[in-house]
Amino acid sequence: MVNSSRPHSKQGGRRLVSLLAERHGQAIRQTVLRIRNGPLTAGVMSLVIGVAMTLPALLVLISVNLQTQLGKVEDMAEITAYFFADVGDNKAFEISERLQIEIPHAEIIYVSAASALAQLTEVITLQPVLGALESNPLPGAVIVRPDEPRVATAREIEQILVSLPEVELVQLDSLWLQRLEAWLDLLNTLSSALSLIVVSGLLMIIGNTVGSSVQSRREEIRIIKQIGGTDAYVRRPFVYFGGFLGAAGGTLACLFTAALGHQLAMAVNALALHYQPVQTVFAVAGLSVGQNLAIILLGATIGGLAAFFSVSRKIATFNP
Amino acid sequence: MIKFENVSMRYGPRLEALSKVSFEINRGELVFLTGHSGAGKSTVLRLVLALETCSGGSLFVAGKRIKGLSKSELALHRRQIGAVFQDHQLLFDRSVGDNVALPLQIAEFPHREIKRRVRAALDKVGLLHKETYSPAHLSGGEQQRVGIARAVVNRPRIILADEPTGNLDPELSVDVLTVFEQFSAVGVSILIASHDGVLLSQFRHRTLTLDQGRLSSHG
Repeated sequence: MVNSSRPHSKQGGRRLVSLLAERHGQAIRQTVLRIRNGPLTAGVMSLVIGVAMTLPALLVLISVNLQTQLGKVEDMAEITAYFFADVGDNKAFEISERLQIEIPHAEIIYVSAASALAQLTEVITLQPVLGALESNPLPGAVIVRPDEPRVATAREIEQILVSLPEVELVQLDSLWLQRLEAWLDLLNTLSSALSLIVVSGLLMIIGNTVGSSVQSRREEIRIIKQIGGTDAYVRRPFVYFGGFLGAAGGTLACLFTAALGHQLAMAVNALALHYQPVQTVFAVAGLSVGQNLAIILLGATIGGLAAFFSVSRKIATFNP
Repeated sequence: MIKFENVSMRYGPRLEALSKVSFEINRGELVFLTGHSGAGKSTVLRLVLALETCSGGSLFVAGKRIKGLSKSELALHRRQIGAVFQDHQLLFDRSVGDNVALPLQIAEFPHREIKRRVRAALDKVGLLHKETYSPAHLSGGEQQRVGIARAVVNRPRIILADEPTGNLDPELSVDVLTVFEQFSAVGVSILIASHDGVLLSQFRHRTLTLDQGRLSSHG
């Protein structure tokens, strides 16, 4: 019994696969036919969608690049803890070793009193002053550079350092960090809001286009329903059509963003030249393959969804 | 196969298209439905196809009550019926072959099977050589035959035909009715609405006559 049922279920599975292939192959053939019959509509619509999607894609590009630049200014996010003068060199070094275990995601540098003085002595104008001193007035210090320059992380580290009894003073320059984070937050909020507007706009544009396409095929839909076509059967080619428009628009948006990103890179470098004549070349990174694919996929999803709802709403009102 | 029990159909308060019509059509039976235009012939066919729902009485097709079928059940119900419409109802943006293939595509037949059946159906109505034509390039009579091919391609249990010989010359009309007779011989129930009394008299089948929405003769 078991043996005889096995090939049967296998056959059933194969039949299901071929049924699905037939079903969707048919819908795709219909969609291709429709696009071929009206290439101008499909082209213009894709262009409109592409332009609309370029704006949020560009903001993503800017945000990604700012994050990268942020990595480069990481050095500035330092927290310095100064030890009491009576804490010996060995003790201070031991503490800094312990801190490295306690704060794994940061670089911890121990600066002894002697090396601090040596650094200061390198400044030529200070040499006479320092030479007049009887003993080294500088305390030992430990510098902590978190891997991620975030206010929250810096505050956490500050707390750890303050709690040490050997530490006299903790210095955290967090103001610029807070400002930077606020700017980034603003940018992110802006891009989310813009994305929301663009997505709802796209839903309406694609829904409307597919809706009018349904309207012009009213007669065909009526006939299909008369001979036993389900709503799903009627809907399928339209959903594919919407998905195609969205994917084509997404592809165009990727191309536009790449072109604009290139322009942006040139403009940023020209601007940077005014600040630093020595010239640092800012490499404006383009979107990654994954991000480009995500934009295309997002377009296809929005297109398919818009078409689905638009068609469902319309055909419910059609009587065969 | 088709059973009307006191079926009434009202459009608005005044117009009663059918009034208490009762009849039954068995499996493999071919029945003519005659009457003047406006007597309610098309209404009977539309009710069987469930394009409209009757306002009174009960209607059963293949043992199932039509009223209360869900949307997807209605679609399945229509798939077991091959319908020939007075105005052909062909899709002009597709070839003749694709028009005939439509019921098979909807029922999700395999690609190869569709091709084979479409050719067989077109052959039956003598239009195999016009498979790739657009319906727009065919005469009214040829379009009518494409509609017939589409109705029979799915090997339905029931065939409904609304004036199927309306655009055909007498010789072709006889041919078409002969095709329908062949289907009834293999068990398909067929209801043909026609007011062509001369043609119908050449065939010996039960005839239902409608007069102002009432069944005046059971043949």
